[in-house]
Amino acid sequence: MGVLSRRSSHQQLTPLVTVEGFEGFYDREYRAVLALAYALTGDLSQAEDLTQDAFLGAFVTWGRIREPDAWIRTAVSNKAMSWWRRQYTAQRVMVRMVQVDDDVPEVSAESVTFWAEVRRLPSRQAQAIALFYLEDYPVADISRVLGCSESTARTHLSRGRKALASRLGAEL
Amino acid sequence: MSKLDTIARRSAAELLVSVESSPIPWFDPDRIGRYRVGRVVRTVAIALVVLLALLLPALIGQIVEDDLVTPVTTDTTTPEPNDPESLVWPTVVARDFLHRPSGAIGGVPISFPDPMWCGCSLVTLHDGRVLMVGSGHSIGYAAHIWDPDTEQWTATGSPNSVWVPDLKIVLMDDGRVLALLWEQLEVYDPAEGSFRSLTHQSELVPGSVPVVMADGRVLLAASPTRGVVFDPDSERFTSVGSAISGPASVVGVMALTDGRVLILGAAQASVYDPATDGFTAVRPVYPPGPGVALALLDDGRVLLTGGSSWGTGYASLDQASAAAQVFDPTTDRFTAVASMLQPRSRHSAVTIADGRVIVLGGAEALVEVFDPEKGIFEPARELSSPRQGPAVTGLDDGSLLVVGGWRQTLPGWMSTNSDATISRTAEIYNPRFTRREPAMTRLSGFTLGLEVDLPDEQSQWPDGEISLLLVVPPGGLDGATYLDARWELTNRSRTTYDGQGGVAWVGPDGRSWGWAPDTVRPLPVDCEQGCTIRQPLFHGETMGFGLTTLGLKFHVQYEGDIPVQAHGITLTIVDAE
Repeated sequence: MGVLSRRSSHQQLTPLVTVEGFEGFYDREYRAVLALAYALTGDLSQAEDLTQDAFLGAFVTWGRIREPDAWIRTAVSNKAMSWWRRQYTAQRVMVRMVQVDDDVPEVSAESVTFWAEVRRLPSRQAQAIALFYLEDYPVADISRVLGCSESTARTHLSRGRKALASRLGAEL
Repeated sequence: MSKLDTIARRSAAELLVSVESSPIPWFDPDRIGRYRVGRVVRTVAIALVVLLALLLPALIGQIVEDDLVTPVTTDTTTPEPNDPESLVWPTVVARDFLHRPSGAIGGVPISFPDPMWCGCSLVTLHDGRVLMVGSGHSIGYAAHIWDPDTEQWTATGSPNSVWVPDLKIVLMDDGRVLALLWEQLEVYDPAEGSFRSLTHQSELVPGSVPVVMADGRVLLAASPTRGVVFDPDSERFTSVGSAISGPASVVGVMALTDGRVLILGAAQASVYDPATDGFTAVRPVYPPGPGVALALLDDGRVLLTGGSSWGTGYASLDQASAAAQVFDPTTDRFTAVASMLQPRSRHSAVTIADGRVIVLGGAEALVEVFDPEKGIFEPARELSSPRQGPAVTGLDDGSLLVVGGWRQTLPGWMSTNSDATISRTAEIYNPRFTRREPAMTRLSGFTLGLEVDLPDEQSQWPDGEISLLLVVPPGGLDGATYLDARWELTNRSRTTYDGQGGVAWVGPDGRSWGWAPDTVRPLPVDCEQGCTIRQPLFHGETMGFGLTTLGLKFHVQYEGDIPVQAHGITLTIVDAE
């Protein structure tokens, strides 16, 4: 699993790609990026699609990406928040006819509530919170993914934590 | 580790464990072909948008002029260039007419909780509802809650203090609301639905301006050198800065992202640092004056617009300023930017989700948008009526609730305490689209049509959406008040599906996409026999019907009809992306 095809035609399509480098990157980062997308969408199958799309984007532009770990998280975060915004609007007036996927692993009610509240936060705060708790990212790395200054990232994180603490009735 | 951290770490661990059970899928480079095609299609679409934006105004101008003067005559062999039936309307929006200040109204009037009247203040609570606190001589204070889901006002507990002509409220991080009523302080708890008076021994200056700082405490700014800090946890007050006499002289405050606070006085400005309790003087390019409006930009800078040197800021056009400047907290310097399109004072500036700033209110109904990337103001759709000194707050769906204000320019609040001059109205302003009364006869009708075939091997449209866009011409379709869309599903290959249908809007950039609120419906099961959706018609906007499909293979056929009541002409869509 996770093996990248080495057919020459693909190398011709993307001459800047370092195939082995991308393959290792894909294997190493896939689940972490999937977790981030899952946290921000709340939908595992959608998260898988968004993750695949993000990696496709990374594959195509691989040779020009300086910090792939930050790049891929930025890409999937933006895709996830964009998707979530559309869904949030729709869900307010819509009863979805969802085909339940039995393969989706169960998580506790506490976890479901926590991530649902994270998704209700403003997008930048939600991204900062997900990176902080899921990836154990320090503020400096969060700012790289969000593309902002460290002080701004710290503010997003602080406000997100305060809002979550208030909504969940938890102490900071 | 705090309780929040414990919950968060546990939730993160559970989520990571659940993801660990997901196999890493085969990375399929064959999808790159489709990915590249998608990018090319998007690029071409953008190029078409630009081209249409350039060509459409002239084209439409000819059509409108022609239709206003003479009835449409159709030559079946050689269509006239101005014959609407010879046109295929573009499927993308022309940027030009979305932004022109053509009298298009962006505000939809809503009810107002009688007998309340404004001056009032608004805050959006953490649950998305809005608290409005208003004041009046005859009824004292009154407070109401606006629920965006039900679009209803509900009375809630009112402030206990004796009425005074000064009211400011701010939402604190813990979800409670701090109300500053001249020199009295009260806290509103949404859970209890009531206000509670706070006692304080501090040197609170009447008329101070409250602002929630990054650390959660509230600065009650009295001047650029003086204030009182309120700690919501301990409910204690601490005086900071030097003593002053007389009422407060602050015209604007803004909490900066670095934890400090920008304070604008009538004659000077400063930055307050809660870490040192120190005030550092800063120098604006233009004196802001009463009535200035501030907005925090996404990059941490602060936009200052308008204001007046006239009294309390209630000013006519020639007494107000159109100047704008930006404060950069990294350098503590102000920089002038392009002026607004019209002078404004006692107006509001609100940063919306895409980073732009909506500037509304003042002597006229015109609304403009500040684009931080371009550094300029552009016209937008208007309010339903002029509002000087309105109360404004952002709603979760990106629209703005605009309440109260004054319909005409008056020199100060003391002369505005007349029911005749106070606006007891409210509206929802949405910068994205507008609902407009059908009034003009500009287009007598045309026919369009569409059929979309989805390849069997493709499980979903590239973006997970099948969309069909229809440009409602600028000026609207006279007499048409509803858009009827009908679709059919055929060749379904699955018995279960997850879908929705509704009317959608397209953003001013021609690309961003979203469902119009309250139009999205679940896809009925019996859609194989055809489904119909009826929606109010939005004029001057790119509208469409759309289906969102997730993992559904089907063949879809749309038919769109717009009955034009005045002319009995049917419009059917004939083109799509």
